[in-house]
Amino acid sequence: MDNNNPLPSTTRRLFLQRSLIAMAAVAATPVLGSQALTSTAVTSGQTPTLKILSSEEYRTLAAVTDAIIPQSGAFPIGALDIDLAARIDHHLKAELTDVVAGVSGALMFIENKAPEAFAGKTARFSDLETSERESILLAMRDAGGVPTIIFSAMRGLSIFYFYTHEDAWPHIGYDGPLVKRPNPVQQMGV
Amino acid sequence: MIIQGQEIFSPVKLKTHTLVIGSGSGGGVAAYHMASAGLDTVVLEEGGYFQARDFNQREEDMMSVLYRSGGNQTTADGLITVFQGSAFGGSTLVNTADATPIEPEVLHHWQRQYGLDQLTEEALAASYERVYTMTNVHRLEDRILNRNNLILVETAKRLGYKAGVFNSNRKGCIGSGYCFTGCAYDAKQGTNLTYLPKASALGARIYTDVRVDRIEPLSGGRYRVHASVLERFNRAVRLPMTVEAERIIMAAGTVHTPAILKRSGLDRGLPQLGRNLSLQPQMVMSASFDKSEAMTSWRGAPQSAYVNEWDDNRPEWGLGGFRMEGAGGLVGLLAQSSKAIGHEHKRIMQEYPNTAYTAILVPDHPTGTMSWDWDDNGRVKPRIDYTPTAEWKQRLINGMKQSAKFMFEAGARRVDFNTAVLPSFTNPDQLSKIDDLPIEPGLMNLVSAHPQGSCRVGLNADVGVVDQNLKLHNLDNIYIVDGSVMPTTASTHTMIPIMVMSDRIMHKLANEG
Repeated sequence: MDNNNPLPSTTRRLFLQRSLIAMAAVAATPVLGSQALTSTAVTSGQTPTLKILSSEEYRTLAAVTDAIIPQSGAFPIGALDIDLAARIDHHLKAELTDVVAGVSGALMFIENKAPEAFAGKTARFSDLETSERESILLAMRDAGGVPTIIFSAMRGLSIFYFYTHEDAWPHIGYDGPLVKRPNPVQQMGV
Repeated sequence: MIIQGQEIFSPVKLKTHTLVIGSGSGGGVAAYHMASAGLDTVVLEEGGYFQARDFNQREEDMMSVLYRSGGNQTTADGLITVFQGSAFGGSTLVNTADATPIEPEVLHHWQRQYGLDQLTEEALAASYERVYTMTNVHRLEDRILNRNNLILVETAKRLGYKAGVFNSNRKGCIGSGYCFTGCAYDAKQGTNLTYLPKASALGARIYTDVRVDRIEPLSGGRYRVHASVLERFNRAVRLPMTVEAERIIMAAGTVHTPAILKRSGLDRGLPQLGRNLSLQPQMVMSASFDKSEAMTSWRGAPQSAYVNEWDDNRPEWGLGGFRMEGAGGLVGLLAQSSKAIGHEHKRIMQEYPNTAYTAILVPDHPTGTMSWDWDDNGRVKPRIDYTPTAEWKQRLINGMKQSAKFMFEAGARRVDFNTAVLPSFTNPDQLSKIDDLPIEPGLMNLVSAHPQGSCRVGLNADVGVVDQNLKLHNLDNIYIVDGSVMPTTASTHTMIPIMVMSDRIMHKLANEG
């Protein structure tokens, strides 16, 4: 599995099978409940102050963003260098309840079900090696159905909030805005 | 007078002659004409009031405050992101200032298919003149065309294809490139800088951060509008507002105008309300060139040139075929082109300066429908159901193949699309893989910036929501002047068509006294 493999959508049976597994997993995810998630230890240092996400969701999101935009390679910085998961949490809006619920559900699925469904691993996603995480995300992308939707959503969130961060700009040759101003709504002090 | 929500500290009760709901392309024009006629006019805009000094040219900040649902509005299946402005000036604040007219074939189609004999080029001519003058429409200056757009025109010329540079409603543009996040230089002549300030100077009272919840019919053809003053930050309700009016002009946009009517129970006898939706979905394509070919897509006018070789506009169906247009100025969104992650994605992003971004616009037929729900806070939760037709999918696939081939002809080394399916293409021989592209939710990200048609014009209530004077079929003194009235997609960009449709009727109403 690599970045340029075409979608195995022609393998209709596999596509459907994977989609059904994934949909069943998503359907089952809510019953995992907070107890199961609470058992997920946060191992990578201190969790920042979070606005929307739980510390467990933050940990999963950090692992996802690291797989999507890893450190080193074409340019040195990656998602972890700007704490992309915390940045995404900061920009999520509580009033957009559907978006928040979607992110929560997607992270639950990736953390608890995707490793087994796509790599035969019983470990949680955030406990896996970086290369294993990337392989799982690529398998989700190529599976079609719900897993691909979840992959696309996570990829979109990660890329949007990474490349709108000024630390990323010098590495992609983007010289950024011509004005330096804060967010006008925050400026109002509300 | 412009009153922002945070300047209101107690419940508000107003009486006026004309109430305009929404301040974008249609509402701005309406407010101006009503105020010009000396009519007491109130405008209610749900979004906030922002000025040039507020725009910080950052997507992550500005999209969340200037767009509906913070830019997260999608079709129910997630296939298409539907962008709509939500601020003082509506979408005219955040569009790319491209000024295109209603195509003649579209008007012919409306006449032929829907019997709309009053919507002719002759009948609209005076409106075009007034709108173009007010918004300074002219051909874009060469000095602000970037390489990302020029390569379309130059390649088309070499290949003998039809192409051009847009007309635009700019004034003194410096080419910063941040049209999508509000112009920090007051160059884009949206309603926020033209019609609305003039309406205000003529006495109109314009309230921002005020959401219209429902319309209550009173006796004598009058109405009481129930609204909520919102908190700017989280859109929570702060205070109630009511406005009694003799006339209501609705311009809340294709998604929200029918929602207000529905919630008000005014949809009885209007079976077409919320139906016949066009989205004109677009696919984003990126094309990487040699490092020596800097595209710098984020500077200059972001969407300033088009290739119309494949337009297939006919009276039988209106807009057809597909069209290529330059795109730029949104690093966070455009970075999502290709399906790569990890180190390969980073390698692709290093080519950002020498990558050309193009939108492939594929006009659709009005097949979508909408329904709405409201949360405890009174906030509408629109549901947009839209399934592309097989014929449209085929045109998209053809458009993607032709556009990729075009960019290879232009010298591209690699072409990517915003899908989770297709690989990167490195030569035209690989493009047949696009034939098998499954156009399904989750597998690709399509974008719509031109939703139209949920309250279309029709000769009677069986086929339309408003008549040719844009008045509701089932009630007196309520007009609709936004994109929702278009029977089919009017043009590749909808600001001018909406303004012109609004001007035609509002100018007439104003002069009737």
